[in-house]
Amino acid sequence: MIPVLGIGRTFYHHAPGPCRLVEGIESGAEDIASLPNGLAFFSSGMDFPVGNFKPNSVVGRIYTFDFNHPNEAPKELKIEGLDRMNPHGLSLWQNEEGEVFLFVVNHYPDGEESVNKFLYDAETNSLHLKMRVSSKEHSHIETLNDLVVVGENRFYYTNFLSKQLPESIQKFGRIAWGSIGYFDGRKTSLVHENLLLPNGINISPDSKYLYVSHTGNTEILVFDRLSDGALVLKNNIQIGTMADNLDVDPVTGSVWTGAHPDMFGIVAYLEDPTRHKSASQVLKINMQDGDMVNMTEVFADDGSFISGTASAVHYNSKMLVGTIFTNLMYCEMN
Amino acid sequence: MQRSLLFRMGIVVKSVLFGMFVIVAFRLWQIAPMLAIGRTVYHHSPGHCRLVEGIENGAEDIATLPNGLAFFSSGLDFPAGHLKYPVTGKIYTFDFNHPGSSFVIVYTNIAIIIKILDENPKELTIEGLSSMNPHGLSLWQNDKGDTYLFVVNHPPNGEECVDKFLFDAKTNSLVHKMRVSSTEHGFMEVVNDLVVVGDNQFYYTNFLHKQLPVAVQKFGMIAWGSVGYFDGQKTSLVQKGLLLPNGINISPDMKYVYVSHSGHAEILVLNRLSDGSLSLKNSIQIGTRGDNLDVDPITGSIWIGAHPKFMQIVRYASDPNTYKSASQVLRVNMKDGHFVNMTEVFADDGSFISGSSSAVYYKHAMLVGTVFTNLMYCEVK
Repeated sequence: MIPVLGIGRTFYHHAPGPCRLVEGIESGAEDIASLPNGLAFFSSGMDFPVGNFKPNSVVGRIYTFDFNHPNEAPKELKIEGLDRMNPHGLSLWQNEEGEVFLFVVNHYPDGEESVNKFLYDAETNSLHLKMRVSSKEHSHIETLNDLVVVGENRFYYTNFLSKQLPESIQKFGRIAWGSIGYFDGRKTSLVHENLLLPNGINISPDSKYLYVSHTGNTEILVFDRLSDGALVLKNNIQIGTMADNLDVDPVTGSVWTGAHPDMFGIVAYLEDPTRHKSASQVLKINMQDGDMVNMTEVFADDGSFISGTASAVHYNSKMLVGTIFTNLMYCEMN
Repeated sequence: MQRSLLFRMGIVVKSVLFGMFVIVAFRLWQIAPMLAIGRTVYHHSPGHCRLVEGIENGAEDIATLPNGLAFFSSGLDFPAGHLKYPVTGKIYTFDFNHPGSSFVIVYTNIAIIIKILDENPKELTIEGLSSMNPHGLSLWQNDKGDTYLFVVNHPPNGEECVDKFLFDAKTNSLVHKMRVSSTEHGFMEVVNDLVVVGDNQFYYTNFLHKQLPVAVQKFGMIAWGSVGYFDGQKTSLVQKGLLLPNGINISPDMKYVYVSHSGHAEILVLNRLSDGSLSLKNSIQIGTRGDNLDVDPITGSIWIGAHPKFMQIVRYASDPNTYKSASQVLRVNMKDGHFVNMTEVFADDGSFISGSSSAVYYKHAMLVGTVFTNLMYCEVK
């Protein structure tokens, strides 16, 4: 953890090309996922932990952003079947009939945690609720962060925090009670335990390797998947920074992540994002058969331009970068 | 009954020990940020980069003419006699306008003729000096268009010199014209870099003092470095009490002298007074150990080759072929001697390139030199 303590450390700025903040997005874009055709979905207006912000000061929403029309404003999607959202991590799934489903982690004000499955309707720009996997009906769901869908109704998810201990004790006491869960279509189970703040989760394009951002240890874990959903740790990649969400480029298999290189900065930003800036970073990790080939820092900033980067998606030499509670950034890559 | 040693020592001894402990702890606390403990240096580049073939003994300092012809020093042995393997000090040119060394194989009916179009980099012949151990350098063009190259030289006998050469483009040679030596001039300690401000006037950095061992000055953080000025006839000190002042350069309008104050991870901006003296205007914290400074004549930006990891550059300096050292290039945008903003143009953990000490920019390309190893050419998109 020493590198992220940032003692006397200067955070340098560099960008892969011209970057701009996307107008109209000011309450965050915590997680982004995109379809192969360049249509990206992102969550906004998150209140986390629940009750962090004053009631009604943020409104949870899902937007689309079209990489093919980057100058168009993001489109807010209408939610059918749910009154309000408090969305966190998300994951896309397309079935053989070409239907697009968006699964979203949702935090309810009463402490309930759920994964909500929506069908996307491009014509009406709306999401129709199809299924809920809730902590009220399933154990093994603690405080959720992110998920990755691996089948029609199957997904892996990260329990960022355990519900059994106060958050601050788990974070600062470094009590590793986080875990990875698996929903097989009917019930949940824990497939890996004793992790310290597991955050983003995603999968290699061939679906063989599961990637998890193990924030508490500034590393990315690579797992082999077994047929029954169980996971076997293959290796861990030290990255010296706290990576948030992970996106996997379907063409190259590279892992793209938005990260928080300054621990004190992100702690202060989480408490009051309008007043405290936090150093930002985007990393691209090239992978080969579940092993790291090399790593590049695609973007870095001391928080003056953008704070709290949590996700990064690459499409056709362009990049979309989301933050936990503040902005969305669009970059052209030279 | 045996009492412990600590108990039996007198109060005076204990006080002295305690005092030393406080000083060491204070120094460690001061030095801690510089050590960049555990910090990961991530790789990124502004475009395609390659190592220039044939350069393996460093390219410590680089200076460019407005027409894109760059000069660099190579084969430095510093401190003199320090390297475990033999090196030959040289000066090369690199033409930004023809960055790829090119061979053309011409087929004729009879024979294959190999035509060397442009050899890049080109080694320059030194006339009037038998050997070189070149360090920092600076270019100067007079009104007649003569090009002079001034080079800091470390002869093996401990002498410290600045040598002035006239560049002859036709014969690719440097003709020795003048020497300013520590044997005739005081105020020349262990010299690192210089910047020429007139036909025979220049500022230079005394990186280390000759009176204390190197290690004591570096790790003890004893600030006995300084900036000197040669007015054409004699030397004088114009800024004292610096900790490892390294690169030195000047703004395009000649108003501000920039000094890389590497011991404090900062750039000093100094006003020039008419008699050659300097007054501190401000300091720019860069959070890394900057080596040489180059100033873009068009934008006035300062380009810096830097060493982000202190322990790595120390080991690399002792054995450059065994130890890697993280590299970094910063571009600092300036306005009227004030810091506007800063970009990290390039970074590497030492796997691709180690010991970056200088960076020059010319028309969407960048040349980066290192203290003892490679030279890198990058396209800057």
